[in-house]
Amino acid sequence: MTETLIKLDNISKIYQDKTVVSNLSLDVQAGEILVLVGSSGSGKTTTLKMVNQLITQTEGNVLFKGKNVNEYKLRDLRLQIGYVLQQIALFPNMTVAQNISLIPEMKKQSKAEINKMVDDLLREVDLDPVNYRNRMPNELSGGEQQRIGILRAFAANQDVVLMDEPFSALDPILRSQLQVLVKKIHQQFGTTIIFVTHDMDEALRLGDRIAVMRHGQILQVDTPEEIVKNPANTFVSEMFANSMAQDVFGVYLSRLELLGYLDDQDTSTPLGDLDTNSTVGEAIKLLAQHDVITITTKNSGLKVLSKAQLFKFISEFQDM
Amino acid sequence: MSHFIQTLISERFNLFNAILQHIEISLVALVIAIIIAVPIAISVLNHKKIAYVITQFAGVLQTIPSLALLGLLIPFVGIGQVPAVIALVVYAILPIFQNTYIGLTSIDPSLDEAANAFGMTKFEKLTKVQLPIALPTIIAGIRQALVMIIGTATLAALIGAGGLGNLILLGIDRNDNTLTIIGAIAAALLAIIFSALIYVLQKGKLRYSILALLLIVAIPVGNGIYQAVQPKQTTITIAGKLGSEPDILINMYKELIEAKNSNTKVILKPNFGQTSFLFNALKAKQIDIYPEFTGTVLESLVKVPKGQRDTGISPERLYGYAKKDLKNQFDLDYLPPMKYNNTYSIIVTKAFADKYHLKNISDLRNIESQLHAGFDLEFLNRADGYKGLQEKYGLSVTSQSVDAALRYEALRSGKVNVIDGFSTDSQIRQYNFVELKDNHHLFPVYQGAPLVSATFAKENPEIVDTLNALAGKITDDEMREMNYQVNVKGKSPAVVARNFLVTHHLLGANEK
Repeated sequence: MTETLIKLDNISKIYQDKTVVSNLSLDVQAGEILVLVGSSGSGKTTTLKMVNQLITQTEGNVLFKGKNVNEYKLRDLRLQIGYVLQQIALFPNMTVAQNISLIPEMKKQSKAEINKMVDDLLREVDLDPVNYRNRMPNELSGGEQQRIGILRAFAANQDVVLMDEPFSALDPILRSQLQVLVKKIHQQFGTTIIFVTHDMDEALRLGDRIAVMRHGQILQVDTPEEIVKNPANTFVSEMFANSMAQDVFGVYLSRLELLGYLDDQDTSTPLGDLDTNSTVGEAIKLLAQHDVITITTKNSGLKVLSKAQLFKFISEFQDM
Repeated sequence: MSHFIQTLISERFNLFNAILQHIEISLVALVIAIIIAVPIAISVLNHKKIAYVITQFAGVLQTIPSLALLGLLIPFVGIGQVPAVIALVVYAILPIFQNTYIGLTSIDPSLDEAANAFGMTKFEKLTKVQLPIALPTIIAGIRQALVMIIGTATLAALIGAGGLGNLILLGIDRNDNTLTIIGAIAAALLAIIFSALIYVLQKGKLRYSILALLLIVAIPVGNGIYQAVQPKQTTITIAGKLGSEPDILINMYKELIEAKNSNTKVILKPNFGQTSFLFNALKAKQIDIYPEFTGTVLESLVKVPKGQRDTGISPERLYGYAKKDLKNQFDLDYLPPMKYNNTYSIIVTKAFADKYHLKNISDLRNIESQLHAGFDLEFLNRADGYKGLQEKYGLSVTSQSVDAALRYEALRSGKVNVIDGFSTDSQIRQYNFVELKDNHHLFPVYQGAPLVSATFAKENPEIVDTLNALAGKITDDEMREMNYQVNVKGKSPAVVARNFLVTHHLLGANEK
């Protein structure tokens, strides 16, 4: 069912005497969001940039759609791969619309088609086209800019979009909003995404699969559940634990799901409208009135959280 | 103020032409500088060291004084607009190169990364991202260069490139400050207007700016092509040194030649510069004819064999020497001279002459202690100038150097009481000054005569005949009067020249 879109085959990157990535292999499946997570210096960004050959590997092969990237013309390869930067890097000499249209124009799509697409996309991210089309990037807030940055990467209907710590410079509220936006666009277009972050929470929220990196190597590639339940080593488990909110009320319910505190749904009717992006604090408020509440999860439909399970989590939180 | 407006009106055609020439030289230089500097800056983007070397080199070029640079270029490219444009380009390269380089290298590296990641080719990246972002910085450099070019281009008049510098030099030469001010103001206004124009273009779309730039280049280039393909009559180019006298003379040549040789067209290049420029231009066949003085030929142009410089030589023999030496040394033909002798003369006011009964230069010895002389720097240093006065007349006076154009003003205002001048200077007539007789024959004879190449003379005997009609004509008084008409009365040299020819029956009144 799944096909491999990108294959990193035993790649290494060595600068003079410093090895940044060593003997790394990774398959990226078509249509998935794969998150590369690791601290700075772990080689995650270098790995990402080898996919579109902004950085060329010292050893090993990168395959895109089954073909070695060396066999593509660089321009042809990159035109199929979207790119979102932490610095956003909207071109300051172009309007919002021109920034979004850039790659479709390079791909020679028709003007009318592009114009309609720009308007649709702007509406998609709640920016009024009439108001925003002709603005210059410096007339936008940081959050608006990165929204345009994301639209620019997705506009040409790329096969894969690489996102290099796109939200690290934004505040938590914006970050959360944009994470939702990425999920939404991903569902809509089915675009494969490789997402680099140092934030384990972000990785858990976005990733279909997560590759945990350290010292230029991948420690573990797995679904969020597997990583949480069966961490490959103490480094992975600690990284997961460290990422949890310090304040128990701020912990996302997705954590409780991953850690197994949510139960399968019984026959009772749905109660409340919480999902895995809600926090423990919100759950407590609702549980003050009910014994059990239902939670919408991203992968396994409705689950339930009982008072007893929540108390258990809170009591165990100290030791995590 | 009314004098200002009067001058403005009487010189309006000159002014208009000068402005056009000035714009043409400046813009052509600017465009060439852009065409050179911008691509170089682009090509060294990733070579820091080379960029540094180029910046240093362009900086060194800029420190060469503009006058020196113009002079240095003459042996290689002659005179006229070509060396002027080259010199201006040399100056304009640094600001344009530097700003382009800085503009392009200071672009946020993440934008470069984005452009690469999107699959842009180098050319796409350059045209869609780098140049548009660097444009304001580049334009600032271009504006800086343009202002500098328009200012420096006034010096181009010194080597016969024309432009507003002509008005300024003419003003200095005629001792007419108004003319100088008009030239200077016009140059300043041009700089401001064009600087503003570029600013406006920058605000517009890139493609309009490029279009406007192309248009600016197209005008002079198109003009050049038109000139080149135009069916050619026989054209003769006649140039004259700076000043009214050569201007009048070459207008006479033109009138005479065109009247007698109907299929010949004469192009005049008045106020073309100084002796060496004209002489080089003649040798390089950039011009066909220019009037030169016998004295100048022997003093500055030819190597004079020993014994030729004996004093008291008759004008005829002097001319004979000049003609022979020019023929032998440069293969030039020196046609017979006119009558007047435009040599150095020692000038005092009428009142001063009357008071001390001054007639001859030797009379000055009696009142040596009361003399305050204002001499031109060249006169002070020449063997046949002040040094000669000391030797031949035993005259020793307190003297200061006064610029040639300001001598008469200094004499008139009483700052000095004796000056050197030239015998046909219009100011002598204008202020009713008195010229003292050179009774010891110190000053060499300076008779004007047309100088042409020997080949030209051989190929155009009818032109030579025509010009010879002026041989032995025009007295000192007549020349002085004509200079007066032009310099003081503001008549055009062409009109004055024609009037003289008609009244002396050298040209029929209806002849054209």
